[in-house]
Amino acid sequence: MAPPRINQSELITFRGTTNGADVAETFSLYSTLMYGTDEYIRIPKGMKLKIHSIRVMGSNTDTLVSVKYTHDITAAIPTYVDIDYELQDNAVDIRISEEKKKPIILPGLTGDEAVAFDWLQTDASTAYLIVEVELTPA
Amino acid sequence: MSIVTDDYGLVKDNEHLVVFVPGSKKALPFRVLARHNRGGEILNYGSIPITSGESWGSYDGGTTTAPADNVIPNRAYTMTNSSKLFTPPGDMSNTYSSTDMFYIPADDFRNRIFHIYMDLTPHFIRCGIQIPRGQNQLRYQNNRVILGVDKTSGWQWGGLELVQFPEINMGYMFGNDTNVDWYNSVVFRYGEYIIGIPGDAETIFDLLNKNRPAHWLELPIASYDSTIRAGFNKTYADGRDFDGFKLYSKEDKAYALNEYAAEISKLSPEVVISKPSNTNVSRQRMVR
Repeated sequence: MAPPRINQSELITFRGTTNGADVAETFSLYSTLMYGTDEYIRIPKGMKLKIHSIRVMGSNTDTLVSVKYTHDITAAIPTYVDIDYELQDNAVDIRISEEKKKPIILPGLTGDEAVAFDWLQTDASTAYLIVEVELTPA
Repeated sequence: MSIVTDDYGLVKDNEHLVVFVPGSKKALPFRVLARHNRGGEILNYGSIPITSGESWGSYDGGTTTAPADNVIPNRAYTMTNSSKLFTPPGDMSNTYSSTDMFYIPADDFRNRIFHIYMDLTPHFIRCGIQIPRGQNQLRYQNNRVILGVDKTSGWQWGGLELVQFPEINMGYMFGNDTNVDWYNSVVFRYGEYIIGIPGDAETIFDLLNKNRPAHWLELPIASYDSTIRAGFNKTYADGRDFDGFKLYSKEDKAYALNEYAAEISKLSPEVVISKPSNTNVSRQRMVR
């Protein structure tokens, strides 16, 4: 077992933006810790990824965000399952989910698991996604 | 929190640190006489020294390259022959080694050790250590499988607790099994201890049998490399054959005390803490 004084958990805020042209696509994620962007986050083997909150904002149209999880990102065409949805109704300015609720927990069982976020809009419009996640030993 | 360590996890003054080396099945007990860097225990180092384009091993086979300076490449690990050293920061360049900020020579520093906690952000990066540099130490089924950051086991997430002895270079290993290139940051919590080895066999027996409180650290040294032994000999015994004290059970105390006394006699006078002589004790009693 690791010494207790070594912190092994990491909180990361991922951000993404719809492209304003497509009504359905996968968010390209970025954060202050990332170099460049990625469309999915592969979960380290033996860790779990906790999604603490999902925020969607800034759209002129309804934006549905889905959390997708795959057991094998190495497959030629990974098979994703939808784990959670978050709908921003354009009648409200911002939608914050999962706050003060139990987080969504996605396990890294083999190291091939990954999570991604899709958007679905009625009309293409710019919307912003902020996801707070924690990676921690399982 | 242990009674012998403080909030930093560092050993308090006048308390004991026992470093156990599994490869030799021996322990080195130290008494911390003072912490040289009191009040300056945190060293915000910055990024792991990484150069754009340098080669890393790939978890997907073959090698890959760092995409930019100071960025850990995705799906990559430091290779056995290219483990990392922490070069001194630019404003701390007058260190003994220009490539390893923690390296100290025995001749000047046999009475000092560094007790180091390395904390790496992001904390899901695998961290491993080579002692000495180039020698992966964690093994499975004796020496059949050499473990490390490129394997399923042989590393820790987010950091390491280490003791840096004089004369021994350590190599730092890192692994990133995510698909993301990460910026990173290393913070060292460390103590530059002025130490001595107890010169009393009874004290050593009590420490190694855990009859006296001490902070124990088991270094991941499974393969007892000759350079480690040579380093201990030179540092603590002026070249004589000393590399620690064996562990004995309480039933073997008499035998252990004899052996410990023989080992203590090999120690350099610069590191051994002698018992006050009887003459002095008598004199103190007379004064009272």
